[in-house]
Amino acid sequence: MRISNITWAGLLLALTLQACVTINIYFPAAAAEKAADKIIDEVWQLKEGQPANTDPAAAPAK
Amino acid sequence: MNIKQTLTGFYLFLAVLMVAPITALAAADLEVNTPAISTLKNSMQTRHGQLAAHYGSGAVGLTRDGLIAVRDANAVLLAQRQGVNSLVSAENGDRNALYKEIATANGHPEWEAEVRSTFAQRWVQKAQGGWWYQDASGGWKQK
Amino acid sequence: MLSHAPHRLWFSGISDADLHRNPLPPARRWMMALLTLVLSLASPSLHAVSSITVQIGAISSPNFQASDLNLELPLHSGKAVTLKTRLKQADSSWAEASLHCPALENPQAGMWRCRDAKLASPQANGNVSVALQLPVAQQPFKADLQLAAFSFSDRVGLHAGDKLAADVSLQATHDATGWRWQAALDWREGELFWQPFYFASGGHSLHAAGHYSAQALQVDTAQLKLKAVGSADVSGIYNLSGKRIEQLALQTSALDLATLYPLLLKPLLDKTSLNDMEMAGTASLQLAMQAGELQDFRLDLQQADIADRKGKFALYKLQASIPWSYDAAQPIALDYAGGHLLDIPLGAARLRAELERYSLRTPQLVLPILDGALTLNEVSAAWVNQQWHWHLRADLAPISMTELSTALGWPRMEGQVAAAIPQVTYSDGKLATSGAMQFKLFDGTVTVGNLSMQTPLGLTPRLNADVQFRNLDLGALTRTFAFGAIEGRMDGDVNVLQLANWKPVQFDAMFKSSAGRYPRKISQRAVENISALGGAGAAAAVQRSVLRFFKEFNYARIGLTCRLRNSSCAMDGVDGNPAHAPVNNTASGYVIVEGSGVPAITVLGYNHSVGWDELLARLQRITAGNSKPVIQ
Repeated sequence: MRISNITWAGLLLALTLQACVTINIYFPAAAAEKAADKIIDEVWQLKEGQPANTDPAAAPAK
Repeated sequence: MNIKQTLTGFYLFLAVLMVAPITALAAADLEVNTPAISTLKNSMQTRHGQLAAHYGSGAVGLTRDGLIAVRDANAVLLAQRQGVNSLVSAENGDRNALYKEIATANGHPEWEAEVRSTFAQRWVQKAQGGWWYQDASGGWKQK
Repeated sequence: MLSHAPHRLWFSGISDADLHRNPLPPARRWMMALLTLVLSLASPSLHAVSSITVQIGAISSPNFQASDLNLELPLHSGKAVTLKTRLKQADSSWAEASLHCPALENPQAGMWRCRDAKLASPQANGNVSVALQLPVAQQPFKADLQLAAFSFSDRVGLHAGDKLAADVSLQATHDATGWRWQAALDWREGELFWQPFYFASGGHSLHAAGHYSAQALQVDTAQLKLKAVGSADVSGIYNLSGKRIEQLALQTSALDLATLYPLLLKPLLDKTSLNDMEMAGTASLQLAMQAGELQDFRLDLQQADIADRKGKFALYKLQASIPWSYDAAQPIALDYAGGHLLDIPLGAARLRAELERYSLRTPQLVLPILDGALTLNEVSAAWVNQQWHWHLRADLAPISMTELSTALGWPRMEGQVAAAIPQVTYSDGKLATSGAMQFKLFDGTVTVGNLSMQTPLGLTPRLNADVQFRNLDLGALTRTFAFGAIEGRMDGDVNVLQLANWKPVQFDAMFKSSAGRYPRKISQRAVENISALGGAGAAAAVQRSVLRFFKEFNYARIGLTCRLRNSSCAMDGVDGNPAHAPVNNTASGYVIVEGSGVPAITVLGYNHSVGWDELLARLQRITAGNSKPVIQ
């Protein structure tokens, strides 16, 4: 009797957690933004947080 | 009694296994240091030397889907327009690959669209004054 | 008297506001304006008038607006005609546009002529001479147009021409069902960019004749000549209501690949791996379409040399005959005298296969490589959903490693490489193999299994494999890579290896001494180098100790494991297992070299985690021929 109750409870718990996991796979927006900024800075050769400079002579050396 | 404990332990173990991914996800930074991403970054950095002037002249603009497009090639000599086209298509090839690589490198290929839209906003945010970009409705605007 | 007084017709404001009340599609609005104009001209009451001035307040359609349109039209031959207006396209700003004909002539009934009319507008500029014969009194319709110093551009600039000089003529006679026509275009000079094609200069021409009716445009003959490239003859029928090609036949002359490639092929192949080539030789194409579908074609290459400018691959003296038919299987043949893939030279090959609709089959293709050959057996490929899918069996007849390593610019290696791969499949950009490739190297064997590749020719190629090293002769190996002499034998396993863009991003690697009896000696320099791999201190300790008096030591076991994840290598020693992450116990060392006998030396590693790039840099410093490791 008790075993079966626990089995059900356990199964329920497992299912709930499973559901949680599925829902909780979220997109890390802040981290992605940070990563994007880092890559853009490198591709456009910007100092952190500075807008692009089209003049290569004035581009900051990295 | 014994079986009950074993089962409880088993479910606890199951629970831990399932919670584990959540903990892993909470880790802060996205992985962007793979060789594929570096290669793409380098290739885009080199190309930027040629593209920068075209952003400045308005010949090329930043699109709302994180790519670039020929906006007004009239500023470019006829003989060089094919080159601008190739630059744009090569850059877009790299950008598409970059978004895909970032999603894959972090174990979530399905994030590609969100990575792309994040980039789309950041490219525009970091663009220099005078450069052109597409607004949400697809119209060209000058920064 | 009305004569000599300008007669004014007003089309006041056909504007958006009016159209809201009385909405008409843009084309209808245009037609309405034009119709009113034509009607007024035909009106008998105008016969005595010397000129007409037409003014239209505004014309608008979603993408196009014109305002203040003013047309001065003389009613006698030989007078000037001027049309002026302001134009605005979509979101661009207003611009002036004008067309001025210095003298509009009417030498005979239905014929109008104007020499050197000047067109000036943001979209088009230049001199135009026109002669128009209207189809009156049994005359055919004839139009001759000469463009000089003519430039045009669409708004985005992707279709534009500059300093064009061209003659265009069209002649048409009405018959029972439509018009029988003849057309010619002689493009004499000027440059043209028509995305994605660019023509730097003229010298090209098109002559065509056919029939036009409401249902179909029929081309009986058309000859296109491209300067320095070749010519093509085309005929066909285009269904205007169904908007499809009912029939098409095309036959080119022998086209010069050297000029054809940059002009037409390169722009079309921009996104493929053939986008930066140099070509020579000739190609000819014959093609037929029926009811919108490709029916058959035949592509022939003669004495063609094709080479990638970045040196990725090349084929020389290529002869190909590639017939294809929708209905029947066709044999194709492709021979080449030589070439290379990356740095690997390819020998002369004769390739034969059968092409059946969208699949290709052949029992065997032999590609000679260096002193061996790659044999592809039971090759079968299919073109599905715009992609190739193929599978085959591959055998690599032994290639000498000496030649291969020289060709690849590697340190000279002895041995040979051979492979038998029961199945290779390529689908959706992914190359997968079952079976193993075997290299006989350094007196031992290297086996590469579970090899798969993604987009091998793409921007970010990815490779997965498991590699096994067995019984490698450390003597030969350490000499080849200038790593301080070690005598003995070594086994290794590099599992779950993943290369991205040909650089390792993941593996579980373990190298340790092979089992069995053989001499085991390690030189002092090798000891120093191994210690230097660990980073600091240890080598210096060896130097300072009394052990520096010995040139070499005996050892019982050497072993190193590295589990590479996220650009970091988790290291362990002879007892490590890279399949499990090592316990992060930085305090305890692990044994890399376990000494034996006298004098015995034991090298311990303490660094459990080393950045991969740092490790590579250290290896490079050690093997760079530098006799002394750099110790920080």
